[in-house]
Amino acid sequence: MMMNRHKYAIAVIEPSPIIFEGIYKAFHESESRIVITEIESIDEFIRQADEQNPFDMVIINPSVLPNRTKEIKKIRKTYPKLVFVGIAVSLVDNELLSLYNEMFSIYDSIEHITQRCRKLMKDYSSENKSNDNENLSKREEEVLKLLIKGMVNKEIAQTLGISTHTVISHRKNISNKTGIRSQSGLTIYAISKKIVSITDFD
Amino acid sequence: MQHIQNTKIKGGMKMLELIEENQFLLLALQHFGIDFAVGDKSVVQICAENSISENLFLIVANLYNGYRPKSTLSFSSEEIRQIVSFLKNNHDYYRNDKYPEISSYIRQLQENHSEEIIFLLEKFFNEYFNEVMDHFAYEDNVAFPYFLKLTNKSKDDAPSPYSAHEYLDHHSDIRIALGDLKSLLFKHININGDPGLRRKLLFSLFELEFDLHVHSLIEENILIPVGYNIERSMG
Repeated sequence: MMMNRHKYAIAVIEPSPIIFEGIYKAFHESESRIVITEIESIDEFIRQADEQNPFDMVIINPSVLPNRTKEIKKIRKTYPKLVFVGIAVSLVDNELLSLYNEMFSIYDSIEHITQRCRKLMKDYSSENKSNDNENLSKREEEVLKLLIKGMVNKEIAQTLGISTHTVISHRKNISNKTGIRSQSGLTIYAISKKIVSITDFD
Repeated sequence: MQHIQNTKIKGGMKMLELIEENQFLLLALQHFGIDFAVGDKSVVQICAENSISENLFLIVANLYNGYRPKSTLSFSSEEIRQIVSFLKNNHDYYRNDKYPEISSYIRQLQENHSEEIIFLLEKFFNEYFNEVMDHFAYEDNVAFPYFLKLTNKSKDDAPSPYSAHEYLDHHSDIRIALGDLKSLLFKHININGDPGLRRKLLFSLFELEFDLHVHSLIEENILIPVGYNIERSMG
Protein backbone atom coordinates (compact mmCIF):
# COMPACT_ATOMS: atom_id res chain seq x y z
CA MET A 1 0.00 0.00 0.00
CA MET A 2 2.78 2.33 -0.94
CA MET A 3 0.42 4.89 -2.32
CA ASN A 4 -0.87 5.61 1.16
CA ARG A 5 2.48 6.69 2.44
CA HIS A 6 2.34 10.31 1.50
CA LYS A 7 1.93 11.46 5.06
CA TYR A 8 4.07 10.99 8.10
CA ALA A 9 3.16 9.08 11.21
CA ILE A 10 4.79 10.45 14.33
CA ALA A 11 4.74 8.88 17.77
CA VAL A 12 5.29 11.20 20.71
CA ILE A 13 6.41 9.88 24.08
CA GLU A 14 6.21 12.89 26.36
CA PRO A 15 4.85 12.69 29.89
CA SER A 16 4.20 16.41 30.23
CA PRO A 17 0.74 17.26 28.85
CA ILE A 18 1.68 20.87 28.16
CA ILE A 19 4.83 19.96 26.27
CA PHE A 20 2.96 17.27 24.36
CA GLU A 21 0.32 19.80 23.41
CA GLY A 22 3.05 22.17 22.25
CA ILE A 23 4.72 19.52 20.07
CA TYR A 24 1.33 18.54 18.69
CA LYS A 25 0.40 22.12 17.74
CA ALA A 26 3.81 22.97 16.32
CA PHE A 27 3.86 19.97 14.00
CA HIS A 28 0.27 20.32 12.87
CA GLU A 29 0.87 23.92 11.99
CA SER A 30 4.01 23.18 10.05
CA GLU A 31 2.77 20.18 8.07
CA SER A 32 -0.78 19.11 7.33
CA ARG A 33 -0.20 15.55 6.22
CA ILE A 34 0.85 14.07 9.52
CA VAL A 35 -0.71 11.91 12.15
CA ILE A 36 0.54 12.26 15.69
CA THR A 37 -0.01 9.51 18.21
CA GLU A 38 0.47 10.07 21.92
CA ILE A 39 2.21 7.10 23.45
CA GLU A 40 2.56 6.53 27.16
CA SER A 41 5.71 4.50 27.42
CA ILE A 42 8.44 2.83 25.45
CA ASP A 43 6.75 -0.54 26.01
CA GLU A 44 3.54 0.81 24.57
CA PHE A 45 5.53 2.08 21.61
CA ILE A 46 7.03 -1.35 20.97
CA ARG A 47 3.58 -2.92 21.16
CA GLN A 48 2.05 -0.47 18.68
CA ALA A 49 4.98 -0.54 16.29
CA ASP A 50 4.75 -4.33 16.18
CA GLU A 51 1.08 -4.42 15.48
CA GLN A 52 0.51 -1.55 13.14
CA ASN A 53 2.18 0.15 10.29
CA PRO A 54 5.44 1.41 11.65
CA PHE A 55 5.86 5.04 12.51
CA ASP A 56 8.10 7.32 10.48
CA MET A 57 9.41 9.16 13.49
CA VAL A 58 9.31 8.99 17.24
CA ILE A 59 9.81 12.08 19.35
CA ILE A 60 10.80 11.18 22.83
CA ASN A 61 11.59 12.93 26.06
CA PRO A 62 14.93 11.31 27.01
CA SER A 63 14.14 11.58 30.69
CA VAL A 64 11.47 8.88 30.34
CA LEU A 65 14.14 6.44 29.28
CA PRO A 66 16.62 6.02 32.08
CA ASN A 67 18.26 2.60 31.80
CA ARG A 68 16.39 1.64 28.67
CA THR A 69 19.41 1.77 26.36
CA LYS A 70 18.99 -1.88 25.44
CA GLU A 71 15.40 -1.42 24.33
CA ILE A 72 16.26 1.63 22.29
CA LYS A 73 19.09 -0.17 20.55
CA LYS A 74 16.72 -2.99 19.75
CA ILE A 75 14.10 -0.62 18.36
CA ARG A 76 16.69 1.10 16.20
CA LYS A 77 17.80 -2.24 14.85
CA THR A 78 14.28 -3.54 14.20
CA TYR A 79 13.11 -0.33 12.52
CA PRO A 80 16.17 1.04 10.75
CA LYS A 81 14.11 3.61 8.86
CA LEU A 82 12.50 5.05 11.93
CA VAL A 83 13.70 8.56 12.72
CA PHE A 84 14.43 8.80 16.41
CA VAL A 85 14.66 12.28 17.89
CA GLY A 86 14.67 13.58 21.42
CA ILE A 87 13.55 16.84 22.92
CA ALA A 88 15.58 17.20 26.06
CA VAL A 89 14.42 19.14 29.07
CA SER A 90 17.74 18.62 30.83
CA LEU A 91 21.27 17.53 30.01
CA VAL A 92 21.58 14.22 28.24
CA ASP A 93 24.35 11.69 28.71
CA ASN A 94 26.71 11.50 25.75
CA GLU A 95 26.36 7.78 25.35
CA LEU A 96 22.59 8.18 25.11
CA LEU A 97 22.93 10.95 22.53
CA SER A 98 24.38 8.52 20.01
CA LEU A 99 21.14 6.54 20.04
CA TYR A 100 19.20 9.42 18.53
CA ASN A 101 19.21 10.86 15.00
CA GLU A 102 19.01 14.25 16.59
CA MET A 103 18.60 15.76 20.01
CA PHE A 104 16.75 19.04 20.42
CA SER A 105 16.43 21.21 23.46
CA ILE A 106 13.11 22.63 24.59
CA TYR A 107 14.70 26.04 24.01
CA ASP A 108 15.19 25.43 20.27
CA SER A 109 12.85 27.37 18.01
CA ILE A 110 9.74 25.68 16.69
CA GLU A 111 10.84 26.26 13.09
CA HIS A 112 14.22 24.70 13.73
CA ILE A 113 12.71 21.58 15.27
CA THR A 114 9.93 21.05 12.75
CA GLN A 115 12.05 21.78 9.70
CA ARG A 116 14.85 19.52 10.85
CA CYS A 117 12.38 16.72 11.61
CA ARG A 118 10.72 17.09 8.24
CA LYS A 119 14.08 16.87 6.54
CA LEU A 120 15.06 13.78 8.52
CA MET A 121 11.79 12.06 7.63
CA LYS A 122 12.17 12.97 3.97
CA ASP A 123 15.73 11.70 3.83
CA TYR A 124 14.62 8.40 5.24
CA SER A 125 11.57 8.03 3.06
CA SER A 126 13.56 8.82 -0.10
CA GLU A 127 15.79 5.93 0.87
CA ASN A 128 12.66 3.82 0.67
CA LYS A 129 11.91 5.07 -2.77
CA SER A 130 15.29 4.42 -4.30
CA ASN A 131 14.32 0.80 -5.00
CA ASP A 132 10.84 1.78 -6.05
CA ASN A 133 11.50 1.15 -9.73
CA GLU A 134 8.31 -0.51 -10.92
CA ASN A 135 9.67 -3.04 -13.37
CA LEU A 136 10.54 -6.44 -12.07
CA SER A 137 13.96 -7.85 -12.82
CA LYS A 138 14.26 -11.09 -14.82
CA ARG A 139 14.94 -13.03 -11.66
CA GLU A 140 11.99 -11.51 -9.87
CA GLU A 141 9.74 -12.48 -12.78
CA GLU A 142 10.98 -16.05 -12.53
CA VAL A 143 10.22 -16.12 -8.82
CA LEU A 144 6.81 -14.60 -9.47
CA LYS A 145 5.93 -17.27 -12.04
CA LEU A 146 6.71 -20.07 -9.62
CA LEU A 147 5.03 -18.27 -6.77
CA ILE A 148 1.70 -18.00 -8.54
CA LYS A 149 1.93 -21.67 -9.49
CA GLY A 150 1.53 -22.22 -5.78
CA MET A 151 5.10 -23.15 -4.92
CA VAL A 152 6.40 -22.44 -1.43
CA ASN A 153 9.71 -20.65 -0.82
CA LYS A 154 11.67 -23.86 -0.45
CA GLU A 155 10.41 -25.28 -3.75
CA ILE A 156 11.13 -22.03 -5.56
CA ALA A 157 14.64 -22.03 -4.11
CA GLN A 158 15.28 -25.59 -5.28
CA THR A 159 13.87 -24.97 -8.76
CA LEU A 160 15.98 -21.87 -9.31
CA GLY A 161 19.02 -23.16 -7.45
CA ILE A 162 19.11 -20.24 -5.03
CA SER A 163 18.78 -20.00 -1.26
CA THR A 164 15.45 -19.65 0.51
CA HIS A 165 16.73 -16.44 1.95
CA THR A 166 17.22 -15.02 -1.57
CA VAL A 167 13.70 -16.13 -2.53
CA ILE A 168 12.31 -14.25 0.44
CA SER A 169 14.20 -11.12 -0.50
CA HIS A 170 12.95 -11.37 -4.11
CA ARG A 171 9.41 -11.74 -2.85
CA LYS A 172 9.80 -8.68 -0.71
CA ASN A 173 11.01 -6.69 -3.71
CA ILE A 174 8.15 -7.97 -5.86
CA SER A 175 5.60 -6.81 -3.31
CA ASN A 176 7.31 -3.47 -2.81
CA LYS A 177 7.46 -2.78 -6.52
CA THR A 178 3.95 -3.89 -7.40
CA GLY A 179 2.17 -2.88 -4.20
CA ILE A 180 0.58 -6.34 -4.20
CA ARG A 181 1.03 -8.93 -1.50
CA SER A 182 -1.53 -11.69 -1.95
CA GLN A 183 -0.99 -14.60 -4.29
CA SER A 184 -4.22 -14.06 -6.20
CA GLY A 185 -3.43 -10.35 -6.54
CA LEU A 186 0.00 -11.22 -7.93
CA THR A 187 -1.58 -13.66 -10.38
CA ILE A 188 -3.74 -10.89 -11.81
CA TYR A 189 -0.69 -8.66 -11.96
CA ALA A 190 1.33 -11.29 -13.84
CA ILE A 191 -1.47 -11.81 -16.35
CA SER A 192 -2.00 -8.09 -16.91
CA LYS A 193 1.73 -7.64 -17.53
CA LYS A 194 1.76 -10.73 -19.75
CA ILE A 195 4.37 -12.43 -17.60
CA VAL A 196 2.09 -15.45 -17.70
CA SER A 197 -0.83 -16.27 -19.91
CA ILE A 198 -4.38 -16.52 -18.66
CA THR A 199 -4.68 -19.97 -20.24
CA ASP A 200 -2.12 -21.28 -17.72
CA PHE A 201 -4.82 -21.09 -15.07
CA ASP A 202 -7.72 -22.96 -16.58
CA MET B 1 -7.06 5.69 3.18
CA GLN B 2 -7.81 8.94 4.85
CA HIS B 3 -4.93 9.88 7.08
CA ILE B 4 -5.47 13.45 7.99
CA GLN B 5 -5.89 14.04 11.66
CA ASN B 6 -9.07 15.99 12.28
CA THR B 7 -10.28 17.81 15.37
CA LYS B 8 -9.94 15.87 18.59
CA ILE B 9 -13.59 15.44 19.52
CA LYS B 10 -14.83 16.55 22.92
CA GLY B 11 -18.29 16.21 24.43
CA GLY B 12 -19.31 19.85 24.16
CA MET B 13 -18.66 20.13 20.41
CA LYS B 14 -21.48 20.39 17.92
CA MET B 15 -22.00 17.16 16.03
CA LEU B 16 -22.85 18.85 12.76
CA GLU B 17 -19.63 20.85 12.72
CA LEU B 18 -17.70 17.64 13.26
CA ILE B 19 -19.53 15.93 10.39
CA GLU B 20 -18.83 18.92 8.15
CA GLU B 21 -15.17 18.34 8.83
CA ASN B 22 -15.11 14.55 8.52
CA GLN B 23 -18.01 12.96 6.66
CA PHE B 24 -16.86 9.48 7.63
CA LEU B 25 -18.35 10.22 11.06
CA LEU B 26 -21.71 9.49 9.43
CA LEU B 27 -20.59 5.86 9.44
CA ALA B 28 -19.94 6.06 13.17
CA LEU B 29 -23.43 7.51 13.73
CA GLN B 30 -25.03 4.82 11.61
CA HIS B 31 -23.25 1.98 13.38
CA PHE B 32 -24.25 3.43 16.76
CA GLY B 33 -27.83 3.69 15.52
CA ILE B 34 -27.88 7.48 15.79
CA ASP B 35 -30.09 9.40 13.35
CA PHE B 36 -28.36 11.80 10.97
CA ALA B 37 -30.71 14.70 11.74
CA VAL B 38 -28.39 15.99 14.44
CA GLY B 39 -29.52 19.61 14.27
CA ASP B 40 -27.44 21.89 16.44
CA LYS B 41 -26.98 19.40 19.22
CA SER B 42 -23.71 18.68 20.94
CA VAL B 43 -22.07 15.28 21.17
CA VAL B 44 -23.14 14.92 24.82
CA GLN B 45 -26.78 15.70 24.03
CA ILE B 46 -26.90 13.26 21.17
CA CYS B 47 -25.30 10.48 23.21
CA ALA B 48 -27.78 11.06 26.04
CA GLU B 49 -30.77 11.01 23.68
CA ASN B 50 -29.61 7.75 22.15
CA SER B 51 -28.51 6.14 25.41
CA ILE B 52 -24.98 5.74 24.08
CA SER B 53 -22.07 6.03 26.48
CA GLU B 54 -20.40 9.37 25.88
CA ASN B 55 -17.04 7.93 26.87
CA LEU B 56 -17.36 5.16 24.31
CA PHE B 57 -18.69 7.43 21.59
CA LEU B 58 -15.77 9.82 22.03
CA ILE B 59 -13.23 7.01 21.79
CA VAL B 60 -14.79 5.56 18.64
CA ALA B 61 -15.47 8.91 16.96
CA ASN B 62 -11.90 9.97 17.68
CA LEU B 63 -10.66 6.80 15.98
CA TYR B 64 -12.57 7.99 12.91
CA ASN B 65 -10.84 11.34 13.32
CA GLY B 66 -7.39 9.78 13.53
CA TYR B 67 -6.70 9.43 17.26
CA ARG B 68 -5.87 6.17 18.94
CA PRO B 69 -7.06 5.67 22.48
CA LYS B 70 -4.56 5.34 25.28
CA SER B 71 -3.72 1.81 26.17
CA THR B 72 -5.31 1.84 29.60
CA LEU B 73 -9.03 1.76 29.04
CA SER B 74 -11.79 0.19 31.03
CA PHE B 75 -15.44 -0.18 30.14
CA SER B 76 -18.65 -1.11 31.89
CA SER B 77 -20.49 -4.19 30.71
CA GLU B 78 -23.15 -1.93 29.21
CA GLU B 79 -20.42 -0.24 27.16
CA ILE B 80 -19.12 -3.57 25.96
CA ARG B 81 -22.63 -4.45 24.83
CA GLN B 82 -22.68 -1.17 22.92
CA ILE B 83 -19.30 -1.90 21.28
CA VAL B 84 -20.47 -5.33 20.19
CA SER B 85 -23.69 -3.90 18.81
CA PHE B 86 -21.68 -1.25 16.95
CA LEU B 87 -19.45 -3.91 15.39
CA LYS B 88 -22.44 -6.02 14.43
CA ASN B 89 -24.05 -3.06 12.66
CA ASN B 90 -20.69 -2.60 11.00
CA HIS B 91 -20.93 -6.13 9.64
CA ASP B 92 -24.42 -5.52 8.29
CA TYR B 93 -23.17 -2.46 6.51
CA TYR B 94 -20.42 -4.44 4.76
CA ARG B 95 -22.73 -7.30 3.90
CA ASN B 96 -25.86 -5.50 2.79
CA ASP B 97 -24.53 -2.18 1.64
CA LYS B 98 -20.89 -2.09 0.63
CA TYR B 99 -20.52 -5.53 -0.93
CA PRO B 100 -23.51 -5.28 -3.32
CA GLU B 101 -22.38 -1.78 -4.26
CA ILE B 102 -18.77 -2.66 -5.11
CA SER B 103 -19.83 -5.91 -6.69
CA SER B 104 -22.27 -4.13 -9.01
CA TYR B 105 -19.59 -1.65 -10.10
CA ILE B 106 -17.19 -4.43 -10.99
CA ARG B 107 -19.98 -6.30 -12.77
CA GLN B 108 -20.82 -3.20 -14.81
CA LEU B 109 -17.16 -2.72 -15.64
CA GLN B 110 -17.05 -6.26 -16.88
CA GLU B 111 -20.09 -5.70 -19.08
CA ASN B 112 -18.57 -2.59 -20.62
CA HIS B 113 -15.14 -4.09 -21.18
CA SER B 114 -14.65 -7.60 -22.40
CA GLU B 115 -11.07 -8.01 -21.13
CA GLU B 116 -10.44 -11.24 -19.27
CA ILE B 117 -8.56 -9.33 -16.64
CA ILE B 118 -11.70 -7.68 -15.32
CA PHE B 119 -13.27 -11.07 -14.99
CA LEU B 120 -10.30 -12.05 -12.82
CA LEU B 121 -10.69 -8.88 -10.82
CA GLU B 122 -14.27 -9.85 -10.02
CA LYS B 123 -13.14 -13.29 -9.01
CA PHE B 124 -10.47 -11.77 -6.78
CA PHE B 125 -12.96 -9.47 -5.12
CA ASN B 126 -15.45 -12.28 -4.55
CA GLU B 127 -12.82 -14.53 -3.02
CA TYR B 128 -11.71 -11.67 -0.85
CA PHE B 129 -15.22 -10.87 0.22
CA ASN B 130 -15.96 -14.47 1.11
CA GLU B 131 -12.95 -14.41 3.38
CA VAL B 132 -14.19 -11.26 5.05
CA MET B 133 -17.60 -12.84 5.50
CA ASP B 134 -16.05 -15.91 7.10
CA HIS B 135 -14.22 -13.67 9.50
CA PHE B 136 -17.43 -11.80 10.34
CA ALA B 137 -19.32 -15.03 10.85
CA TYR B 138 -16.57 -16.09 13.24
CA GLU B 139 -16.87 -12.82 15.12
CA ASP B 140 -20.67 -12.93 15.23
CA ASN B 141 -20.82 -16.55 16.32
CA VAL B 142 -17.71 -17.04 18.43
CA ALA B 143 -15.94 -13.87 19.44
CA PHE B 144 -18.83 -11.55 20.28
CA PRO B 145 -20.85 -14.06 22.32
CA TYR B 146 -17.66 -14.81 24.20
CA PHE B 147 -17.15 -11.14 25.07
CA LEU B 148 -20.76 -10.74 26.10
CA LYS B 149 -20.54 -13.78 28.37
CA LEU B 150 -17.34 -12.43 29.84
CA THR B 151 -19.06 -9.24 30.85
CA ASN B 152 -21.62 -11.32 32.71
CA LYS B 153 -18.72 -12.89 34.55
CA SER B 154 -19.75 -16.39 33.63
CA LYS B 155 -16.69 -17.68 31.92
CA ASP B 156 -17.68 -21.29 32.48
CA ASP B 157 -20.55 -21.40 30.06
CA ALA B 158 -18.88 -19.11 27.55
CA PRO B 159 -18.44 -20.65 24.10
CA SER B 160 -15.00 -21.88 23.15
CA PRO B 161 -12.57 -19.00 23.64
CA TYR B 162 -11.69 -16.92 20.65
CA SER B 163 -8.05 -16.57 19.73
CA ALA B 164 -6.61 -13.11 19.60
CA HIS B 165 -4.04 -14.38 17.14
CA GLU B 166 -6.59 -15.69 14.70
CA TYR B 167 -8.35 -12.37 15.02
CA LEU B 168 -5.31 -10.32 14.11
CA ASP B 169 -4.28 -12.63 11.25
CA HIS B 170 -7.68 -12.19 9.64
CA HIS B 171 -7.36 -8.47 9.96
CA SER B 172 -4.07 -8.28 8.16
CA ASP B 173 -5.36 -10.59 5.38
CA ILE B 174 -8.31 -8.28 4.88
CA ARG B 175 -6.09 -5.23 4.71
CA ILE B 176 -3.70 -6.89 2.27
CA ALA B 177 -6.42 -7.89 -0.19
CA LEU B 178 -7.99 -4.46 -0.25
CA GLY B 179 -4.59 -2.84 -0.78
CA ASP B 180 -3.93 -5.26 -3.63
CA LEU B 181 -7.19 -4.36 -5.29
CA LYS B 182 -6.32 -0.68 -5.16
CA SER B 183 -2.78 -1.27 -6.46
CA LEU B 184 -4.19 -3.26 -9.38
CA LEU B 185 -6.69 -0.55 -10.28
CA PHE B 186 -4.29 2.35 -9.85
CA LYS B 187 -1.10 0.88 -11.21
CA HIS B 188 -1.46 -2.24 -13.25
CA ILE B 189 -4.76 -2.81 -15.02
CA ASN B 190 -5.49 -0.75 -18.09
CA ILE B 191 -9.12 0.04 -18.65
CA ASN B 192 -10.01 2.54 -21.34
CA GLY B 193 -12.63 5.14 -20.57
CA ASP B 194 -15.43 4.72 -18.05
CA PRO B 195 -13.94 7.27 -15.64
CA GLY B 196 -17.23 7.80 -13.82
CA LEU B 197 -17.77 4.16 -13.08
CA ARG B 198 -14.16 3.64 -12.08
CA ARG B 199 -14.23 6.65 -9.78
CA LYS B 200 -17.35 5.31 -8.06
CA LEU B 201 -15.66 1.97 -7.62
CA LEU B 202 -12.55 3.59 -6.14
CA PHE B 203 -14.58 5.80 -3.83
CA SER B 204 -16.40 2.74 -2.57
CA LEU B 205 -13.15 0.92 -1.98
CA PHE B 206 -11.74 3.87 -0.06
CA GLU B 207 -14.86 4.08 2.08
CA LEU B 208 -14.75 0.35 2.76
CA GLU B 209 -11.07 0.51 3.56
CA PHE B 210 -11.52 3.38 5.96
CA ASP B 211 -14.39 1.76 7.81
CA LEU B 212 -12.62 -1.60 7.99
CA HIS B 213 -9.56 0.17 9.32
CA VAL B 214 -11.55 1.73 12.15
CA HIS B 215 -13.34 -1.58 12.69
CA SER B 216 -10.02 -3.36 13.25
CA LEU B 217 -8.78 -0.56 15.47
CA ILE B 218 -11.85 -0.90 17.67
CA GLU B 219 -11.33 -4.61 18.00
CA GLU B 220 -7.59 -4.39 18.52
CA ASN B 221 -7.59 -1.39 20.86
CA ILE B 222 -10.84 -1.83 22.74
CA LEU B 223 -12.40 -5.27 22.52
CA ILE B 224 -9.36 -7.50 22.77
CA PRO B 225 -7.65 -5.62 25.66
CA VAL B 226 -10.95 -5.45 27.53
CA GLY B 227 -11.32 -9.19 27.11
CA TYR B 228 -7.83 -9.77 28.48
CA ASN B 229 -8.50 -7.54 31.47
CA ILE B 230 -11.72 -9.30 32.40
CA GLU B 231 -10.12 -12.69 32.00
CA ARG B 232 -7.24 -11.63 34.19
CA SER B 233 -9.52 -10.21 36.87
CA MET B 234 -11.40 -13.50 36.98
CA GLY B 235 -8.15 -15.39 37.37
